[in-house]
Amino acid sequence: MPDDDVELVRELRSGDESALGKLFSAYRPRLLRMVNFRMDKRLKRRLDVDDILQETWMGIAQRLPHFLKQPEAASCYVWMRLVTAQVMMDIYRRHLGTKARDAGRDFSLDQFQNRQATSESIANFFVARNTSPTQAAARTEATEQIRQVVAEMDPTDQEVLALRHFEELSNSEVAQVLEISTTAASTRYIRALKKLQEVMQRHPDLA
Amino acid sequence: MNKPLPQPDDASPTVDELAEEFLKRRRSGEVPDIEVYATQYPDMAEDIREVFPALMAMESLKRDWEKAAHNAETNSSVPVERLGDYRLLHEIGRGGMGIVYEAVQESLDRHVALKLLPQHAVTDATYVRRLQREARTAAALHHSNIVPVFGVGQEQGYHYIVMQLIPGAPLDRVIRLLREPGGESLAHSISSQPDTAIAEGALGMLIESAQATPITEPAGSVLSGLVSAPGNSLRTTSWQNKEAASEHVETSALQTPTSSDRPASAPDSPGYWRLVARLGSQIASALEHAHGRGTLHRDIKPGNILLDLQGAVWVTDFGLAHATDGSNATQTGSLAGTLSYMAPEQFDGKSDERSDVYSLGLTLYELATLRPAIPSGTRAETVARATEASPPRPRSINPNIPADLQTIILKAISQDPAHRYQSAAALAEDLCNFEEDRPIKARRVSAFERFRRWCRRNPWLAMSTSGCVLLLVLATLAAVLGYAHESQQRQKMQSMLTILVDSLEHVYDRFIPEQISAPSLLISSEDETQPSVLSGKAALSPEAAAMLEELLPAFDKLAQQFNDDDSLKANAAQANRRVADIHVQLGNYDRAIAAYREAIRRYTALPDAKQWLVQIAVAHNEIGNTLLQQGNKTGSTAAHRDAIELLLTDVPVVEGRSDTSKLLHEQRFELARSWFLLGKRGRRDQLGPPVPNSGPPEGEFSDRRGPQRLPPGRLSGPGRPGRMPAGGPEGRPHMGMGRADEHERHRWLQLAIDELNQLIQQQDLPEYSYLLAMCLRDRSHTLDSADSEAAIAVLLELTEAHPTIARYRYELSRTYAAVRITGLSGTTQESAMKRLRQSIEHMNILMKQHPDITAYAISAAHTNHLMSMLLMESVHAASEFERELLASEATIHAATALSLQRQAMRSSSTGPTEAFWLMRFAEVGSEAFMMDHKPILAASVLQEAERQLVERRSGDLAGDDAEQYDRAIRALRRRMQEKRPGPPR
Repeated sequence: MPDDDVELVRELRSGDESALGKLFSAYRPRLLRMVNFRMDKRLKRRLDVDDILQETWMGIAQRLPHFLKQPEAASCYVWMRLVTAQVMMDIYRRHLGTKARDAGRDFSLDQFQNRQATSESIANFFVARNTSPTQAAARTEATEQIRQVVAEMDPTDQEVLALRHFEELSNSEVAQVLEISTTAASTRYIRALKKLQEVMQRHPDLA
Repeated sequence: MNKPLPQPDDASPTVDELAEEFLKRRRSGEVPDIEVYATQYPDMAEDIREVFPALMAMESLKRDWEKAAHNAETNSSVPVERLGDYRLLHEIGRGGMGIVYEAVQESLDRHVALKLLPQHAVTDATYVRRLQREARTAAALHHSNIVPVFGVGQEQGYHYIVMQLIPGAPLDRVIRLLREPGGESLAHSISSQPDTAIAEGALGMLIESAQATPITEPAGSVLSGLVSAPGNSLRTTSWQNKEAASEHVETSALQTPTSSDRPASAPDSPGYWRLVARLGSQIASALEHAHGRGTLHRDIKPGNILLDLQGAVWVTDFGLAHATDGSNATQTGSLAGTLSYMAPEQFDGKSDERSDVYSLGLTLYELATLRPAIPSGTRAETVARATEASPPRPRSINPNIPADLQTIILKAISQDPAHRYQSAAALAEDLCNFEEDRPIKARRVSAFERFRRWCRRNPWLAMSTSGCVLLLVLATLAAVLGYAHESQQRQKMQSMLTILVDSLEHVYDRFIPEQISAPSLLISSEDETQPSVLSGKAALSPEAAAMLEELLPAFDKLAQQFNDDDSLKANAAQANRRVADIHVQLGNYDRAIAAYREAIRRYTALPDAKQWLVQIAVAHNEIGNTLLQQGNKTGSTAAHRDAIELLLTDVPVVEGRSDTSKLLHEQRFELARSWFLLGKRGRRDQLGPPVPNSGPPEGEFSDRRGPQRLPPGRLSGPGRPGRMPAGGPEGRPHMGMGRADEHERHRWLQLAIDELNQLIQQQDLPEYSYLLAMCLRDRSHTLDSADSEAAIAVLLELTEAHPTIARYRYELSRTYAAVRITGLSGTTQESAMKRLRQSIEHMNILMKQHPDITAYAISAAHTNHLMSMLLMESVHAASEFERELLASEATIHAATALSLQRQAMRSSSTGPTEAFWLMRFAEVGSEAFMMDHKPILAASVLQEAERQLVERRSGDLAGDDAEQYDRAIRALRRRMQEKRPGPPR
């Protein structure tokens, strides 16, 4: 799990803005993963993820001062991820036009609005209605049941699992994203895994 | 697995840290062992054994997701290896109903096509029912052009249907192949899409067989047809290129002759059209068979028709079909076909054999033109398109399409089922006739017939059907008029002509959208926030403009005819006036003025001229309006004064007539209107004080203050005769009108208002109130004055009392929109915003009521444009939080303005003025997006506008117009230079 490239971030903080481009390039695959995972499939058909990242880059370049104001410990990736989320939200809004508010219920517009996880912030993946027939068809019986178990968990737990596994964030990054302490993030994660294990034990075919 | 675990740090790691470590190794491809961890950290062994399996489960869930995401692109997964007797091999296609796989039926050792319902949908009872119904209906059909169904099954929670495997490709893929421009993209699609390879294989085989068989053989004709298809993509060279590019393609299928062996591509050779007809007649005969057994297909489209290696077609997917004898499970509520191919009546839930004929017609259309008749869009769009518009005639896309084939296709896709072939059999027969060069039965629809049908489809014309019929009679009569003149039947003819004039008037009234149909009240759009919507073709739908063009000669001929005939001179004057009105609508101002003058001359020469006083005054006023459109302010004023003089001096002599007071009222009303026309605001002398410019001007179009200071006249240049009123130097308010003039103007308006108030007291006609509102609006000094409020109140009342009269709502909306948008403070800004919101609301109603009137869309575009500028203006004073919201709302309105404007420009022949506005909207839109931190969109709106203008520019344009387009394009390009972002990748 790649944490920030310490050297580059130090260069960036000391005023070398060229480091920003390097950091973005380094994080690109992770951001791409996040975009792919979070993006509503209906929008996916219309939008190219590369375009989203392109726009993200513009946002990052513009909002660099915001990052520089943050404490040293703040993760550069988490910040870039947040900008990406905002860009995605803008795009949602744009594509939904004035109907954004109505459609928001379907599209989980608020998904990124509150960094504290809410019921809206569940990764689309866990929500069955967002699964395409192909996905459903490709999924095996066992993983389908795991998905269902996860889908019934507390939203924050779902989010923790999503961040740790689907976005492959480290615990400290998860903590920053959700704005909770690392201990709390860790506790939630372990607890969610235990819950999952519990269900899995009741269905031996899942293990 | 045997790798030593990392040694615990000083502080022993937490379970979470171990999990992180475990995951890192797993993701880098190692296979770490849970037990090793458990042994290494005995005090956490329990947690590790509990947590790590769940963690692996999550990872497998993730892998599934990755796989699914990957599969969504490659389309080649098989969800299960085996279903009962069937072993699934690979996917061969997909549709709304499920994915089709090639499978082996092991007991019989045969290859079959197995359609699988998506597993998650199995719980959906409708899907399952549909699948079973598809099986039952299709199994009952036995026809050489219908894919046989072997049976249905249910296994491991999957529902599936088994059909004969047809080695071939669906027509949509074939069409796509034919359309592709060259071998390169062809090769690309083949290597990336397995199922395209089948289409390619089929065609490859056809090519091969072409070598072996003379061209007259069926396969040969298929080949020659395909090879010489209009798209021309399958010429030998492209196939050879592709062969080189994709090695996996079987070379045997592509042993094509060298280009010298092949008749140097005969594009559009009769072979292809015959092929289209033959495929069509096969499909039609399949439908005929199904219809005969009470089964409708209901979803005929290229994707549901397979072309096999022998060049025969197979209809598949009777999934939506339902027995016509009553069980109509999919009927109510849900539309069950593919929207782009559905017949108009299907949108109303009605369908019969002729709906399938329609869908087949669209399929043939696509085969012939290689483009969909109705491009797929959003659902609502498609519904609107299919029910309102007819696709362009095939020969307008490819003139080589034989006229008879076009006639057959057009007959099949008539909007009204009664005009189509009444059965699939009839269509099959005519297609055979065409294929075999026999005369076809369908008659070409005459221009008049098209017009009549168009009338029928347009509700606002529905009432004038009788008028339309008379128009037909007139057309015939006009042709024989010269002869008639000499004939003994002259007397009879004359009385008929009188009736015809009335009918024509009737038709005319119906044709012109009602807010511009009343020339007696034609109030030019002269306020600066709006484009000149009442001038030129922009205000007309293309159909209305076309019909006016057709009406014109009829009126003209009538006018001439009557001119020679004393007894009908009044009609001649009337007809001349109508000719003039039509010229105005079409933007032929000079000819309009000449015709008005002729009308006046005729009226004046009448023995009872005084009875026609009002008509004469109206004609004068129309001359005034038209001159103003041409920019001749002085001439315009003189014309209105002529009207006033006439109305004031001549009192109509109306002895013994019962409608005296009516005539008097008409006269006084026209007088009020003349005063109004004199006193109304010119295009340039509007609005309050100038607002300080927020930035230095950067170029000819860089003024960011908005339209009030960027009148379209700027494009045509001062003094140039043309569609813009002439003016002095740019940007000066109250231009051409000093204080004295302004005073004069108010005096005129006051006279009009007084007159109208008196009239209203005697008789409260809506038109009186309407003109009063217009007067009040134009008198209002600043736009939020009491006059403006009063105008709104009057218009609001009118709109509420007459919600369907578009003119009232339109002016209401425009009056709401007449707000200042710069230099406002908090509360005034808020009320301006409120008014714009109201305006947009009413414009939206109008656009919904009259989607075909471009003027409303253009007006709505302007209001949205103003709104976006106002929002941007308000950003400066807003708090940081509000700022983002305001900026993003501004982008929404700016984008709406742009899209409405682009639509308007696409849907009708607007002039360069609209090009200017498009450019302006793009500039403001781009600024809004910049403000909303969306530089890419900011750049792209400029680009898109530029693209549209360039496209428009490339059409044939007169010199001046072209120049104006060029200027707008240049301005946009300059902006794009400024905006170009340069991000790294």
